[in-house]
Parts: sequence; structure tokens; C-alpha cells
Amino acid sequence: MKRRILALLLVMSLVFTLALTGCSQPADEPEEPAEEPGEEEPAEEPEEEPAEEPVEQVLTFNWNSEPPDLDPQTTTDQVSFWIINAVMEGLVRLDPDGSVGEGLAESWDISEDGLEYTFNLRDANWSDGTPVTAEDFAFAWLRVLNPDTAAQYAYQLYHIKNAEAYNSGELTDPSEVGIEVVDEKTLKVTLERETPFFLSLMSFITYVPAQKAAVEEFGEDYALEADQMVYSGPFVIEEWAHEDSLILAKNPEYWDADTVKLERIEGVMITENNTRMQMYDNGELDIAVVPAEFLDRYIDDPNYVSQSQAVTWYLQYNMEDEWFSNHKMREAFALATDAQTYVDVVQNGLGVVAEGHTPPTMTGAGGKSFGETRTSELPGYDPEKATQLFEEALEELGVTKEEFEETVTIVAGEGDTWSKIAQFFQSQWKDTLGVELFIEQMSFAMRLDRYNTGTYQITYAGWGGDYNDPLTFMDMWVTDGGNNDAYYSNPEYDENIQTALTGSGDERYEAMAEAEAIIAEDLPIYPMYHPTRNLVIDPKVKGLATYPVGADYDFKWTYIE
Amino acid sequence: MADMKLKKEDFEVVGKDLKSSEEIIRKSLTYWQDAWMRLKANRVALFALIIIIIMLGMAVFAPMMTEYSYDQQMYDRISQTPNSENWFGTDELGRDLFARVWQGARTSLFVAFVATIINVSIGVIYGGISGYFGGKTDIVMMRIIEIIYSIPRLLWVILLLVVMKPGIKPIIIAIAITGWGGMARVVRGQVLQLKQMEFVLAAKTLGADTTRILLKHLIPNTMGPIIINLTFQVPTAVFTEAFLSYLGLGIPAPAASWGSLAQSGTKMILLYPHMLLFPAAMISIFMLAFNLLGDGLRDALDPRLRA
Repeated sequence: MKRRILALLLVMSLVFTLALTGCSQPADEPEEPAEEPGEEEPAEEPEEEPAEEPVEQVLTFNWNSEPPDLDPQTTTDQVSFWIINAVMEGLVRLDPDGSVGEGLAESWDISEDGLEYTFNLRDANWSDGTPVTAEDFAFAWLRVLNPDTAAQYAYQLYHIKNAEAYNSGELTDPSEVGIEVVDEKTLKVTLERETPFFLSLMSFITYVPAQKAAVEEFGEDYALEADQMVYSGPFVIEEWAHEDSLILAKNPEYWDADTVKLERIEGVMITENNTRMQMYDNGELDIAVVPAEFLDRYIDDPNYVSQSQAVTWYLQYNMEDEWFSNHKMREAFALATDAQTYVDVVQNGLGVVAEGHTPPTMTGAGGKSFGETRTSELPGYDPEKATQLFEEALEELGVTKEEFEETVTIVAGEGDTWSKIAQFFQSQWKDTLGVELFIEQMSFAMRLDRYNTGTYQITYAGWGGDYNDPLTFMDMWVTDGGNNDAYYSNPEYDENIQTALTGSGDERYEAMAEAEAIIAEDLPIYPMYHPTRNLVIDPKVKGLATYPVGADYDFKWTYIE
Repeated sequence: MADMKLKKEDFEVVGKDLKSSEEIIRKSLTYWQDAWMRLKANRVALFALIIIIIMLGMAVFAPMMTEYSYDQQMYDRISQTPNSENWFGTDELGRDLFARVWQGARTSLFVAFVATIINVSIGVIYGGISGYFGGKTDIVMMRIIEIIYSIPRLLWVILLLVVMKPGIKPIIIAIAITGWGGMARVVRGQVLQLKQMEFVLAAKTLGADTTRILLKHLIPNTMGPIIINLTFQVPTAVFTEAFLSYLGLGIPAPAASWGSLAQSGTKMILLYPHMLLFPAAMISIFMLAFNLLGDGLRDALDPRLRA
């Protein structure tokens, strides 16, 4: 009897697996039966079978890593940006072509002097069903500016009147900041100075609203778990298995929910290149970033796309470090690094060698690109001079090579690509400078923590533009700037950035070109290259919006065909 | 046949040759000579031994056989398949894999032998004392082993890395801390059995002290199991190092070990399988050879199998 039941179970399980595979098949090959009307087939058959099985609107995506911080007001990193851009919405949202599109603001008026913006909010709800009000925006923005929040991106709000003073503690009364809640659906913003790109900045992550009730309820735990957040965007976080997966689901309360076709975005966190590409090949991932070493395999693939993006990767020194505060030391490491070979070998030619911190495609003076108007030049690869400078620097600091080798480490991220990058630098510096530095590989969150606490010496970091103006790169290195992880400070540089902030027209661009020249001279960072974004996208995925600046992807219009 | 009569004169008294009757015709062999003879007869074990010797030789001399150093990055030779210039090909940073594999062999084998020697020394002494004294001493000492055993090796490495820089040292220490328990148990078991034998009683009667009895009488008699255990510990240590390097807890870049090479090779398996093939083959061959040799030694060293 027992054996019989077992046999039965076995048969049943086999049958069910067959049935299940049968079910999921139509999703893989849609429309095919409908397109070929059988001539001799009995008439009733097409009626019985559904003519077109609706395709499952599920996108599989790789977040790459655990998002370090999903609190929109404090986050700074790319992964968190991707996710927040999908689950939150600000006053405006960028259209797929990169222009300012519809967001939570229905309309807006700009005063003639360009200093007053009045936003009229539409009837939109939070994911918990409560209406989004002007108060939610004012609350979020003041939260960013509150010195206690210590938001690194606070300077993005400095265009607002008195924001900087409040953030730096000069002003203690938040009501003096130029944010005014006129009524429940009207928000009036007064600017410090005319800011031509202010409207497009409204799509930036730091500017999205926050529900006061939720922030106050969860306090320290806000945005640490999927159910400890309230969402205003096209999606909500359905499930967040830390360090493993993060699944988004369509937000039924979203004001434009009819446009959103995707039901779910199943996001995994995979750093390993092989696994990622294999998952793409097996159809387990719909979109994958092609690592440099896999380029040869995918370059002829019709689904391969290479896009330019406003990103710069650079060597970053800790200017407060005992050794790297020395200019000769920084210059020696810069001259000892061959950026062209780096792009050719490590990145397989995917990108261009940087001529400065700002990518050449950003706008510059006289309607030209920034690259065309750049006047400064970075020091090039020069191993002999590097060796000499290094010796001099060691002498000035009174340290031997052995001591230097003992105490200096290269801070790098985790994963295969990072290991390769770090070993390239290690080998370059060993060949030229004769010191073999220890490589410390760590998680993204750990690395950001090391930067923020200033407990590193030399590292390799990247920065992606947040909006389409060179300022998004250039204002990074102002004294005590939120993202100034190099701890660089030069009053002359600060002055130029101030001009870029307050000035208008070409004067701004010229000031930023001047600031570039100061960077090239002082070398708090050594820009290496501007990568291209290389993706393979499954042809069934349509309507994926990608941007060269800000959050790279937008899934609002994405659907599966 | 003709009539033949034996006469008395036909016989001669030669006397009794006392000397030759005492002579041992079969060559006298020590324990080790005998074991060696039997090992030689075991073709498989002998072959394994030769392979091990070749690999050790290569680890020592191979880095001198090639003009490339293990950390020299040749940017015009990225990810090349094996060819006449780079016998094992190159990796994704243009480093010669032949140089790296044998440099890796140095690391792996160094870790293996040092860790094994430490394991054996601690294990033999600990097990010997525990077994010989017995009673409460034995109970306490064995419980200590069990406690150490209960903490996984990986945990030891991670804990050690908190206080030490990653490298060969924490790996050796981790293997040494967790590896000697097995050896100690084997030796203890043998000593428990041997200490009741007459020759130990005889030694005691003659006034030998504990140290002498342990070192001169008991431990030499457990040599067989010790050697066998040892030959199984070496490949385990190689494998442990490979496993730790594979997890990224091993030796830091640009140094190489078989494990770290296999790890970086795995990432490229879809594109350049040769990067995984060579280090993986080395690990497999070495472990197999040592296991076969261990098998052969067990047969050769077992006194009961003596012909």
C-alpha cells in the first residue's frame, strides 16, 4: 500500500511538472499561433484556444549590489538611484528623450525674473492611498537641509533661497528658507539666483517628496525595509531580501498607473560577471551590462547597445592623508598611471580617456561642448618623471619606500572587474614607483563609508552627472562639499564654482573651465576615463528609457512584448 | 646400475660447521627498507611518488625556466590561449600563466607542507601524552580537541583576518589550529593499545622515564599510521588553501596560488577555459597523486602485511 502511494505521488509530480512547463511556454513564444491561421484546421479550434495569451509583464533586472541607502533624501549612489527613480516621483519626471516631462506637478509658473516657481500639484496619492500634498515636498526638502540629517546632496538644494544658510547652521529658522506651502496643492519656491536648469533638477532623487507620517513613524528605520517606506512613483518595493533580491511591483495608486504596463520588476543583486551573462543567455535576465572582457562575444549581437553616458572615473586621493597631502606624491601616482592602456586593456576600449573631470559632451561656453572649450590639460603618462617625483616626495615626507608600502592600501570595490582594475593599478605603480600596494576589496556600502569617514588613502571612484550642466561635476570638490570625498579645499577653486553658481551664460562655463585647470594642477583626483554604457537588452523588452545623466534607467514606459 | 658397494673410506668426517648454521641467508632489512621494497612493488604508488617529485621540482625550478615573471603584465598579450611563447597562455591582464601556475604551486605547496608539519608535531605529542597518561588527563585533552573541532575552519580564517593582514600566515594558522585533532586521535588510539604491551613494561622496569618511553618506544611504533595520516593531510591542506583563496580569503594579489588562479579562471570559463584548466588540473593531479601514495604507504607500512 505504501509503495503504491509513493508511486502515485511520483507520477502525479511528474504530470504536474509537465503541466506547469506547458503553461509557461506561451509566454516565451507569444503570438505565433495567432499569426498563422491554419487553413485546414477545424473551425472551432481557434475559438477554444485564446487567440493571444497576454504576455507576462515581468522584467528581470540586475541591481548589481545591495542598495546602500534607499532614503531618497540622504542617498548618493547609483544603485539606490535606479530603485528610487522607479518607486518615487518628484515634481517632474524626465521623458524618455531626456526633456522635462510630467510628474506630480500638473503645471507650474515661473516668474519673469526666474526667481519664483509656483508648482500646482495634481491629485496624486501615496501608495498607502493618502494624497500627496505640497507639505510633503516642503517637509522632504527641509529634511535634506536640516543639518541634523547630514545629507550629502544638500548642496543640490542650495539654489533655493537661504537653503545654504540654513544647512550650514547660520539660519536656524526653517521658515526663512524659500519654500512656501501656499495651500495643500500649491508649492511656491523662491530661488537664491536665477538657475536655468532648476526645472530639470526637480526630477533629481534628492527632490522627491517624503511622507511626513511615514518618516516620523519609522524614524531611524525609515527606508530600511520594503514596508518601512511609502511610495509616490510608478512602482512599489514588494519584497526586499537583503543582499539577494529586490522586487518591485506596479503601484496601483500611482496617478498615471494606466501608462505603466510592467506588473513586476524582479531585481537580483549579482556582482559576478559570468553568472550575470549566463543568466542573460538563459533568459533569466532581460537586461545585462556587458563587462569589458565579454565584449567580443556580444559586440555583434543585434541586442547589443553602446550608449554614451556622462560618467567620469578617476583616481581619488585623500587630501587629508599624511602622504597624499603632498602634491608631488599625487602627481607621481598620476604620472605613473597610463590611462590609454587602462582603457584599451582593462576596459577593452569601451570608453574614452579623460581630458578633465567633466565629460567632453557636457555643454560649454558659446554653445560648444565642454570638451571643445576646455583649456587645461591633465598631466600625461610619464614614468620617468613619476619615479623622480616619487623619490622627492618620499624625501620631503621623510619616509622610506618600505614604510610607505606598509601603510598605504588601494581601496577597491568587490567583484571580478574591480579585482582586475585594482591589479592593473597595483602593477603600474609597482613597475614605475617600485611599491607594491595592498589591495583592499570591499562592498559598495563599506567603500562609501571609508570615503565618508576619510579612512582611505588612494582609491578609484566614479561619478555620474546628475543633471545636464558641467556644474554637476565641478561643484563636487568645493571645500566641505557633501560629495567631496577627496577632502580637497582651494579658495580659488571655490570662487570659480561660486561664479558658476551665481553667474549666467558663458561666464559660468568659463569659470568652470578655470576650475578644471585648477584641478589639473592640484590633482585632488586624476581623471582616468569616461566609460560607455554597454548593454544587451532582450528584444522582448520595449520602451526602456536610459539617460546619460541622473538615474540611468526609467522603467515607467517599459513593457514586455 | 653396476654393483656398487659403499666403503668406509668413501666417507669423511667434516665435523659440525657452527658458523654457517647461524648465518642468515636472507638479507636483513630494517622496517624502512622493507617498506620501501613493498612500495616499489606497488606500481601505482610509485608512479604517484614520481609525479609528486616532479611537481615539487617544477615548483622550485619552473619559475626559472620561463623569462616571464608571475606578476608581469604584458598588455599586448591579453587572454591568449596556450602558444609557443606562453605555454599555458596568459590571463586577462596579460600575465604568463605558466609562470603563475608554478608560482602558485610554490604558495600552495608551502602552505601544505608547513601546515602539515605543524599539524603532525602538535598532533603526535598531544595524542601521545593523552594516550599514555590516560584517565582524567585523557578525558580533558580529548574534550579540548572536540571543542576546537566544533568551530568550523572558515570561521577561524575569518576571525584571524580581523586581526591579521590576509596572506599565507592566517591560512597556515587556520589549517594548523583545526587540523591536528585528527592526528592526535590516531596517535592516542595507537598509544592506548601499545602501552599495555610487554616491551613498555620492560622499559619501565629498566627505569626509563615517561619521555623516553614516549619518544623512543611508543611513537616510533605508531610511525605507520602517522605517515599515512600525513600523506592525507598534505592534499587536504592544498585543498583548504585553494578553497579559502577561492572564497577570496586567501593570499592577496598579485601573488598567486592554485586556488586563487582557479578562482580567477572560473570567472573567465565561458570565454577562456584554459585559465581554469591548468590550475584546476594541477590541484587534481597533486591531490590524486598524494592520495594514491598514501594508499600505497598504508599497505607498505603495515607490519601485518609483511611477507
